[in-house]
Amino acid sequence: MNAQPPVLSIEALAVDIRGARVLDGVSLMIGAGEALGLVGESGCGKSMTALAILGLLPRGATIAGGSVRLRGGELLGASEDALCQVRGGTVGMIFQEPGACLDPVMRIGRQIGESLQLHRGLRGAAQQAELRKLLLEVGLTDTERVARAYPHELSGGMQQRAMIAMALAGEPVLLIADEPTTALDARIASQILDLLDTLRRERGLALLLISHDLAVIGGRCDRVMVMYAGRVVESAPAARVFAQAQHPYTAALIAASPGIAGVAPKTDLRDIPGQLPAPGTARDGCAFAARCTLARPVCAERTPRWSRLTADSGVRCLQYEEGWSCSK
Amino acid sequence: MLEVTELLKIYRARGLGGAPFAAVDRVGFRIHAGETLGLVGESGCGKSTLSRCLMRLVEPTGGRVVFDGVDVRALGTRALRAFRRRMQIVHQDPYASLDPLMRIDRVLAAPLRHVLGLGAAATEQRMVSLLEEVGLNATHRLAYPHELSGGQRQRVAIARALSLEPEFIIADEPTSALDVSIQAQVLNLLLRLQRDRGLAMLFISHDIALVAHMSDRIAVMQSGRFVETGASADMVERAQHPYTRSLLAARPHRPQAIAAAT
Repeated sequence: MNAQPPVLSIEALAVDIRGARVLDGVSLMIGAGEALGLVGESGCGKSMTALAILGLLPRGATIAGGSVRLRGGELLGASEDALCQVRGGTVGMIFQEPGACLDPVMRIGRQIGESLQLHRGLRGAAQQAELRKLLLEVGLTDTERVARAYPHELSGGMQQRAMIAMALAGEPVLLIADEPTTALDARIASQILDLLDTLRRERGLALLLISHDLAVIGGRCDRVMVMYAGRVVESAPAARVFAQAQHPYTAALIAASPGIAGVAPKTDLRDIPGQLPAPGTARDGCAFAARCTLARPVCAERTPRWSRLTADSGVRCLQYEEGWSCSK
Repeated sequence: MLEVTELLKIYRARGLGGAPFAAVDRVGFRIHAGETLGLVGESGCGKSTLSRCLMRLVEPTGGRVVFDGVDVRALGTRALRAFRRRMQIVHQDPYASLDPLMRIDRVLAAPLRHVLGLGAAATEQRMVSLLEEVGLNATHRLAYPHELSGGQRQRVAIARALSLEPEFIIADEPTSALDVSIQAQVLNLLLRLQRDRGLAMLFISHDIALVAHMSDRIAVMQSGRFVETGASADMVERAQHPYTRSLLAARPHRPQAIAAAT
């Protein structure tokens, strides 16, 4: 254990929605200046993980166990006051639809100014100076015009930059970006990811980058964690995930993605048949078994444990457990 | 099969002092049966307007659209309706393109009964075979759109497009609302349908990697114009235009690629 606690450390987090387990034993750690990519298809629990960090679980969802520590301090069960300091303060958030997250009837400058006042007590000229600095930092160089603009007057990419400026206003140590580029064109998306990269390096931010598309974020992270049906199924350094995916689901995600699968044009991609099981159904066995090309009967019976492969990687699959070679 | 020359769509000036705006600026291309032209460009470049001009869902300002020897712009109302049967669109968002209050059987039966004039039994039979062709089954016809997943809805939209036996399909960002794993299923379905039915296709997306995978040839569109066209493989490896190159540079990359570049 380092002397410095990691910026974010989640241990065995479990979340229930009306008795159905939607997050099960999720553990992760992000250090300062580090980017962790969280990947999986809709409904796998990646956004739920982000919401749990912030104490923003939807109605009906309850924490069933585990711990979420921010710089060593426990967030689960923290008071609402303390969480308000965290949200938009020490933890900045960026979501998929900047257009939906910005207040449509408030000028950009005022929206960011509000956050500067709330989290840092800045007013008047000091607030304006900081606002200008933030807008420049996120690449909105025409600061006067942007500050006076309403969200609809900005393009999608500029809106997302404004969202990032707002997230930075509270001087966060952790930035959570949940599908930050899904609504954007490829070139703009790449610019936004470049910006997040720069901020992470320059500010030493811990970055949690969430996406359904491994291809989009894989190249932007130090480590990648793949989630399936509420569990982490693989965790490894990003380069290794692409070079030698260990979990069949990870391998399938890569093979299904036209940009990175490496197949000839107009030939079939290896798709993943079927779909994610509904939350709370069939907790016995491996949740991916029904869609897995390597599955054996045992996969439907025994729930895979976390197998540690190297110091910095692991996988949840029966193949890596003892007795696989002689199992049926 | 489809030949487009000098296609032009000008929108009139909006508001005071606004200048007329060419959304599609003298664009030309050909698509043969069984072939896919990929159209790539960013939001607002005119790619959707272009596709709508082909079916005259948007009335072009100038140019020629010739489909199987027929001058589409010269068609009268009746003939146009008959023509549209042969060319169908699959839209981006299956959540928006299916009526939430309409059960799938109604969605699919409408064109079969009212356009093809099939009787009840024949409609039922066609409906089931269409659902099976797109990888669904007979029970899905009793579902409402909200009961289906995004991928299933897009399959329904494709089944609806196929119901009138078109020869040409316009796929306008058909998978951008879908997860990667589901996207691959829908792409494979489109490829298979093209092989089985010899469909000609216009495949539209902002994602050049996706377009390159799906198409024989690619046209890159910027501000209403084609800035570069060529065979898919050539474009990916030997793009000439700086705009095409910038699109290629923004493609997702594997982490090793970064390591190699630095």
